[in-house]
Amino acid sequence: MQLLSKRSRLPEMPAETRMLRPSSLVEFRNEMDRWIDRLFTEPFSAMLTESIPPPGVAPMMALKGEWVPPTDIVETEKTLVLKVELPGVEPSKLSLHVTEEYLTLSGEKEELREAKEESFVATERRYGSFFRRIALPVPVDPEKVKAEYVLGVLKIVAEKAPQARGRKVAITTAGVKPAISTN
Amino acid sequence: MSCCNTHTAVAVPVTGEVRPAEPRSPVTFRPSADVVDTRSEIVVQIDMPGVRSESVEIEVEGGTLTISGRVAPRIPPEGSRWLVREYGVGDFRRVFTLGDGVDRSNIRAEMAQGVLTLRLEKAAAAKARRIPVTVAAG
Repeated sequence: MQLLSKRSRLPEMPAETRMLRPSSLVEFRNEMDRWIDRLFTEPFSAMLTESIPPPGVAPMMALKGEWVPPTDIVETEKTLVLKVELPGVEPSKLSLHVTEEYLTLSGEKEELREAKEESFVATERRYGSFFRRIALPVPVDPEKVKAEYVLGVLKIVAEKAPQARGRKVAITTAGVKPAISTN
Repeated sequence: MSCCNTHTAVAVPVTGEVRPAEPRSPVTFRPSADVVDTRSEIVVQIDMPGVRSESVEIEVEGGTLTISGRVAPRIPPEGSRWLVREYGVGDFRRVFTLGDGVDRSNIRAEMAQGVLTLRLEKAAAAKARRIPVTVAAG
């Protein structure tokens, strides 16, 4: 399981090249600053919510794919909104399947056309097929799911199943009738 | 579809100009990058999901190439709550050192599907030379 998203991992040092190389000293300092900033700005959210799925959400199943795209899930009153980071993935190569309880997303990220293996100087991005199945925390209506790919992010809005929206329940107390003021 | 055409590449100007300050995200990420050395150019691809082409800044100063992208802070709609948060949202910034072999006046950039592609033309002297070999008759 991927504990932290690939963006938040500490830098791997790419191979050096005469033409272009990451400015390691400057970057190292920046990276340290960012981590320290993050500790103060998001003390626990950054570390805990990214690594431990809350109850009801299955950990990612990465058995089939080569990588797992990081996903955010937000619950509103009537919908579940999922955002999946898929930069560089051709939308036509994405496949999304939704049932009441599961959402299954798969696809493939293709390499740069001119990239032959011997010419890579640094490879930090992930390529190949991915597969992700998410157990939805509340049932959704598979007929009412919209998905849109914008700027490398897939946004999925699924309406909750009517029975999952719940309803407001009035509370009474046993044996005691509500006091009615006669004044 | 949204307001912007996300499926075609958008050219990003390579400048050194300083833009007016925009609201900043509290976090900055170091995006993942691939660097490919072809015979005539160096191709850099950087994953910057959620960044609009107009929010990308590419600066060449001396021997340093700085790429930054701004992302709008993540504000969940009212009455909603986070269930899973696997990725951080924030600005991107990455710094590279340019060697002498790169023609600094000839850098092209385009943004498509959340990926920034930079093409750095090699200086004439650094281009791999191909020497044709002729076979002598006999």
